[in-house]
Amino acid sequence: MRTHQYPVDLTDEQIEEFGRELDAIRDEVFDDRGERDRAYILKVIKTQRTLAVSARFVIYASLFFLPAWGHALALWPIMLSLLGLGTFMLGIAKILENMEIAHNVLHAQWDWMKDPEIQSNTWEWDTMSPSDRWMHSHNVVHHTWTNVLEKDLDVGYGIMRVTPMQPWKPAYLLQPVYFILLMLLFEEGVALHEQAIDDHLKGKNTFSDFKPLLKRIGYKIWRQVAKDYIAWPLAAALVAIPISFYVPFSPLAVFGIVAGANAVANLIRNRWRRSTINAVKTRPALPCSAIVMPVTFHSHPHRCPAPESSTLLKSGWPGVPEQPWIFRVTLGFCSIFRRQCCPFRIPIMAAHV
Amino acid sequence: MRQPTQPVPGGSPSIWSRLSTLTDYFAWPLRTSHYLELVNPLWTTHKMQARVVKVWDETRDARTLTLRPGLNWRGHRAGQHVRVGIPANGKHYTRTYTISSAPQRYDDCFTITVKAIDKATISHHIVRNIKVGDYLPIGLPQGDFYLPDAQHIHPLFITAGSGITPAFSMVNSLIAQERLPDTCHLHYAPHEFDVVLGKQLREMAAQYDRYHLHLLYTREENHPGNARFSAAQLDALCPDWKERDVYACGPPSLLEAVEQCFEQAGCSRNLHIERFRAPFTEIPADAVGGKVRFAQSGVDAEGDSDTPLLKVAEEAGMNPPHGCRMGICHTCNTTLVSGCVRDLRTGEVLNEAGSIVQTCICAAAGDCELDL
Repeated sequence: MRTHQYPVDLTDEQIEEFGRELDAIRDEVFDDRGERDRAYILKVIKTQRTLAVSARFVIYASLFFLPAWGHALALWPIMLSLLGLGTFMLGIAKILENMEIAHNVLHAQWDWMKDPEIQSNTWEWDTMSPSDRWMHSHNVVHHTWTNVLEKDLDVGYGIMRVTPMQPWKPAYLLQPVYFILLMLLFEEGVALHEQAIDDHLKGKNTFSDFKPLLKRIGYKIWRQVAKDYIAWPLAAALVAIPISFYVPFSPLAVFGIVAGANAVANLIRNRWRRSTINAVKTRPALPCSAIVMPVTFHSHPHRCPAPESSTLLKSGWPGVPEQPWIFRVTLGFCSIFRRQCCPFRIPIMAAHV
Repeated sequence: MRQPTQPVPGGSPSIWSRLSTLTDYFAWPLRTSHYLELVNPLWTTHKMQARVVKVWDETRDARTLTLRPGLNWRGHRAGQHVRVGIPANGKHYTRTYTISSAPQRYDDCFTITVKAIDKATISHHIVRNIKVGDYLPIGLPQGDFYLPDAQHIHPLFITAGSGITPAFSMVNSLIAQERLPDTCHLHYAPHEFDVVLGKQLREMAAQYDRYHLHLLYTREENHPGNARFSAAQLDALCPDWKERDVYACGPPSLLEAVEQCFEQAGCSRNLHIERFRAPFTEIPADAVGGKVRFAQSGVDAEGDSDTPLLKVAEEAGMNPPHGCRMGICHTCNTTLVSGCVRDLRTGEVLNEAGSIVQTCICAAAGDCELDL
């Protein structure tokens, strides 16, 4: 018998029980935190920084094996394998930084340590999107409106049609091309992944409304570009200028090799990020970090008045019935939100937890 | 880290800071210092660290740590304190300790002397677990509890327990400068074996005639000096106390008695006091809300035990940053200046000054002050 208004086949007791089980997971995780976790994140950060800086120097080292040097080991195979190794290491370092360190730090997952160096509100990550902007588009928008069409920009990123609920437009014919472009330029895509920009394209606000925002994003993009495509290649080219009098190899080509290696490293990272995100967002599995935190809202409403007082939950957005956030997110993870209910029911979800 | 660094007004930047502005283009979004840290943690400029080079047990529950500070350290004045970051059980805690060594040390190191206080996990952690080779984040020396440089004074030190540390540093500094004046020192400890830095104090008293040390044991019944601080005792041990400059440091009960005594004698002007500041506010037993003060805005409001502080602020006419309003996004994070707040989700009470507070899911538990 259904005694509640939620689009799931569960009794109130089962819902309570579900909440209790999720709370138990949450408590278990929270009680387990300690020195082991601190040692882990410090080790990952140290490894990542060491890897990044060594990768840059392996790329530089490969330049000493260009055939133009004329020594016994100066062969293309040696040079290219070193270059490839350095590029691969740099790509891995960027993936580690973005996915294992920054994503979690910016989710405030490490704030409990109170370490001033590892805090969500001071961490800046190695990608074109400024941390605080990403925290807004990801933590606030995406995690409040997970998979709710027209609310969650992560559904199709505003350029792709990923559910029949999105009305078809001829522009979607080029979707495979967009997809590949998004995959390659994911970093740039995320930087411009802003509600304000999306609104502007739909004519909802004026340019001056988000000009300061663009300036801020622009500064971050400039510093990222300056690092990977100016500073590191230029330093190599400057050293190559005096050497070029003795070794017949153009400093411009040196610049190109280093900049190219950095670009490939960024592509490796973009490709990785895009595919992990696909994997997470298309499967009906529950990422614990997202679900464990807010569960107490559901099972202990008396302890927390926030959901009731929140206007976000009572949005008159078309197609979104009024229901607690926890259910919306749970359903959202199951699949793209449908008007009435979703194909994967809550019991299946519980099995995945 | 996030904003372009502003040039410091006045004075041209050093060659190193100019160079690091350039090298930071290679390290962005980190700083050059983050990579130098991989080579030697003492070379960092984004934070300062110190290496523990020696640990020495003073008594059964007090330990002296000798710390080698990083490059940006500046010398302290005898009597000043320093903030030390202590990792314990995965969390980062900040505590303030007086530097117990004199600034004239030959090796650029400094020492802090920590006594394990009952029920205080952090001091226990320092005394029992910190080992040689550990790196601890530190601040710069601060505080205005120090002797005047030029003026010739006759100091009287009144100290108890680990309150000995600033006096020890000051006396040592005067000795190192070879300008030790006629100095009187009353130090209280529970027992003879409990005197922190006791061996060094007795040696100094034996070696320097102008240093008059009186060790008083408050819990040894058969000892002649087993009395707590009183005006009569002060008269007996240091008859000219009204003419001296007095430096007192110790637990609140001692400082209260000293203050009262000097007030009655009408010479509070001569009294300089260094208090141990409690890092924790006592949690009120019946936490039913309280006065909420928003320090930056200068707004005062009443918050009850169920209303999120964000709502309290909004009802008081403020518009603090917020996002999800349910504790996920951390847009509303702010710092607790003082007092207690309660996390409405878990019932956990935050009472450590400097804690991060999510205003959307925390309510007042007694009076509190937020950095908003």
